[in-house]
Amino acid sequence: MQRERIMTLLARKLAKEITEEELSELETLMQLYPDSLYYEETLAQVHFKKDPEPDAESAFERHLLKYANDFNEVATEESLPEKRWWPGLAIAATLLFIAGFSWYFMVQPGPKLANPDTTVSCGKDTRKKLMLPDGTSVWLNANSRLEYDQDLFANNNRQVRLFGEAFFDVAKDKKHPFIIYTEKISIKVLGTAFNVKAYPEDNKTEATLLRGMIELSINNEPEQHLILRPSEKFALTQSKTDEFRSALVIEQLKPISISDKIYYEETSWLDNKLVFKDNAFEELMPKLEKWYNIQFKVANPKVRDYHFSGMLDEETIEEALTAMQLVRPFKFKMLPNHTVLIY
Amino acid sequence: MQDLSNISSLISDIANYDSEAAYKKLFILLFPSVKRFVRCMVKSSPVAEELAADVMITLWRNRADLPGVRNIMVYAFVIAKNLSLNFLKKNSKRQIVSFDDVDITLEADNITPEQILISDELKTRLNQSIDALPPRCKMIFKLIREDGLSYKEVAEILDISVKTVDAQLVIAVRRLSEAVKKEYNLS
Repeated sequence: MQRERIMTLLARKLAKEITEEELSELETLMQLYPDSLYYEETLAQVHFKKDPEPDAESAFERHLLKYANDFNEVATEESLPEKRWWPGLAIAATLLFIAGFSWYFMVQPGPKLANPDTTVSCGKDTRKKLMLPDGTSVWLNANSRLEYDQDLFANNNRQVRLFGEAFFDVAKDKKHPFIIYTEKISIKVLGTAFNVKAYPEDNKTEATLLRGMIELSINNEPEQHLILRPSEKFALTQSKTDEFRSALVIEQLKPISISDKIYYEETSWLDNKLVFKDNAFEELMPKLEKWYNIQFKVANPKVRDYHFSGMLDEETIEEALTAMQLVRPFKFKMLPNHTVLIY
Repeated sequence: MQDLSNISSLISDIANYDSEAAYKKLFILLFPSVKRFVRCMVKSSPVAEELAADVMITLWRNRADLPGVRNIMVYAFVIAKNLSLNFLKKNSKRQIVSFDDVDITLEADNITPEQILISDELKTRLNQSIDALPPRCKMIFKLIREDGLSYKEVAEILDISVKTVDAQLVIAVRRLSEAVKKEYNLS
């Protein structure tokens, strides 16, 4: 049974665990049984299919985000603006409608950025990250604009004006409160990381807090303020009759689990993904329109009520809609001028 | 396999200076193979990434102990194995009690050889043979052939003896050889 012995020695040779003695034994045996060359050559060429190499760099970035707390303890240099967000809390969803509540301390509106000298804007298909003169990092979403003065500390406050959506990671500076003005609400930053959504054409203005504390006030009603704590979201809805009814909604953020990964719906655009959970198509439309820079024409009103959950990453609009068709029946057609017909 | 001197200086920086830059380098060195290892057990790429990241954070959190670890690759793979097993215990439809219950996914590929042409048929047969290997045998074959680990390292990771590793590899080689034998009509 020399073949058995050859197999054994071949195995060790393949594993690079063969001794000198065994090697010469193998060579002798192979001269006696030349067929064994086939075995050796073939086996040596068995390689495994490689998964496309995971992009370790971006995996590392995600890793830092997920375990931000482990790395915050190590306060070495703050030189690199490393993205640090959510501490990875798992919170159940609770919806609180706050009718009348005790107001916290007053914020003096102050002179509101009369003539900002710097404007950064993002067109329909771009997102930008920038750093303000004080070290604050801002991620600006598509169709958004940020205005501020280079001399950020002019009024003893750091002030910016936002149209659209942005995520702020505010540099700590207790002496100079950071204030963000949007069309309808003003946000004074007491903590550090949060997302603001204030597209002028939307009915809702939202602020989502991930870390720290922020204080919100409604521009039209300066006496009203409230404080948000981490993982809380504030939404101000303007009623359709344009009468200013402040429906204040504070929600606990519910992390969405899709494919075993946890995303927070409001801020996943930072990862270049669009995440939605159980959204009616009606709700989803403006998100998709902004994401793909298209416009929907809905010929079939039933579709508006269909609910979808999903996550969009690199998909084209056709791919996304095709996937959605698997969930609920509808048809779509791509029309000229970036229009999509749903019927 | 890995650049050992490089790794030990990284570990030193991580353990003694809490260096996040060194940790990043270690992460980039180890993450791909740990993820591959996990993936052949858990199948799903996103899950593999999560678990591989968990392995890395465990290294970070235990960084004070790292200089005492003889072989960081083995250490990481052992953690990876345990995390994967735990995951499968919770999430698999089948009863998973130990490593031997795990269904391992491997797929062989081949680069155009210089000397012997491997036909598609042979490739299929080889794949079938590999697939038919018992889990532990399969894993051993992969760790040695793909990850380049030594008998000793594999033995440590899987908590078995070096003799067993050797014996299992011989079994794998023998089985694969059957496919070759048929193809070329050998003796």
